[in-house]
Amino acid sequence: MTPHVLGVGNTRFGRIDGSDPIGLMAQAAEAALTDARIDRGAVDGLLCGYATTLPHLMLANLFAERFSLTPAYAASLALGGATGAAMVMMACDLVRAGRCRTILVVAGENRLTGQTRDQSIAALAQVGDAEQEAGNGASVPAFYALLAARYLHESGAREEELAELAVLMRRHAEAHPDAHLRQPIAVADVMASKPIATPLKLLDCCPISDGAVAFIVSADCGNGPRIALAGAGQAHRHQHVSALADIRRTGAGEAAAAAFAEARIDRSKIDHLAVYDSFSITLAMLIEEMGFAPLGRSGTLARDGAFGIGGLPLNMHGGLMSFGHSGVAGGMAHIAEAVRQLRGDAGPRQAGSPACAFVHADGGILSAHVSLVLERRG
Amino acid sequence: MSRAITFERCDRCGAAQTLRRLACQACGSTALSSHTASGGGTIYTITIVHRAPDDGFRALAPYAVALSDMDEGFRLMGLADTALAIGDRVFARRAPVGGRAIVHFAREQEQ
Repeated sequence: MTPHVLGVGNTRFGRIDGSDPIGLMAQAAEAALTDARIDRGAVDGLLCGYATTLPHLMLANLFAERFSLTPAYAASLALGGATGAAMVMMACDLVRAGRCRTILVVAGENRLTGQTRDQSIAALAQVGDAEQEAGNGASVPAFYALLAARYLHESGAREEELAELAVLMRRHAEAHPDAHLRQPIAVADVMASKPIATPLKLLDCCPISDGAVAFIVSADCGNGPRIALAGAGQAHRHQHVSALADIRRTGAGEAAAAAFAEARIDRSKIDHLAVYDSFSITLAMLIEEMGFAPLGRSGTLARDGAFGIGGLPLNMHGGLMSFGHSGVAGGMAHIAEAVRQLRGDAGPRQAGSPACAFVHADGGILSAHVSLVLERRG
Repeated sequence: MSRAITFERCDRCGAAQTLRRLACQACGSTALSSHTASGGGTIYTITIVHRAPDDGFRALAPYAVALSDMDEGFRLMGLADTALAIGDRVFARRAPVGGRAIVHFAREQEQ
């Protein structure tokens, strides 16, 4: 049985005063059910992410009760930013195995209004080794800055070229009404923004947002355009940045190769991209490791239009960097956009008639990798 | 407060381990022994942190954090002199910062 994305739903991303994780998840889930044209009774599987503002042993059960679902199968997953894509991959496997027919995949968090910025950064510090890394006054931005400094050294690329990726994400977000950040920016704005940890400045980093995203993954393909999940792959080579031996081999390449192999396609067949972009450096490293640009060239290619309409469209919703990052749902927004683009439903953001989209998500410090291939089949 | 910089090496295959492991990252053996590092290394990457993650480090900002390829074959993170660059030869020693013995990299002096 081929798994399909039958429904997509999301809240807007940004500052949503009075929001809470369960409420946000419910809003996105309701929208996904409506989009899929099914009742909650049709859902026999439930996969949830986690929420740093609502740490809970059994988030799927909690959500099921509040949302009045009684699934035959439920689980909560946690792989950092790769969780959303991992849940979609797991949903595919459940459908293929005949274990479930219709699965609700949902995550959401009030990461912006539910905790202070320092609390958010502190929560993320878990991805640093307590003994040898965290004690050095380093957290997530600094770990990515270490990668960025090495990347610029190895590739010969310049900071201004990485900034082009931030500019591109903002340009794409301008056309999305749900995006957190939509004010246009230029390379000069990125270069002048507050230094966080060299070479990364504030506008090289994604914001912290409230928001939720949900999907219905089903053996049923519905009556509209059929969006099939053709392939998926994962790789896990490290957790901590100190243990990442070679910045050009994070695991992204392996995950992508596994997804292409399962989908029985070559990378050249991909005509739409959705790649995790927690920082400008994340996007550059992932694009290049997976072979969508030569080493050091993502930024210049972005500047020259290679990743916009008419090229290989990338993160047409604005990515984490401008659509927003609310935790697990942040990476799910990439999948939502890929589905809408494949359907031809992206309105002013529509980038041609893509047939084969590639999605990649990573968690931690380029630690957990999940790749997906989605195809429009009729 | 221990001043030594120690690392683990696999007794079976000799591989030096980066970070604490419960089995060798190269061959999977659980026979790992602790050794004292010479302190010599080469800067692999370095960043100057302007926005500290907590109050403890806010007073030190801006400060440099680096990853060094140590001579014994493992990678180590620590604070560093802000003037250091990728490729510089360094010497690592522990220094007290806020009650903890933090690794600090300084330019290797002529012997």
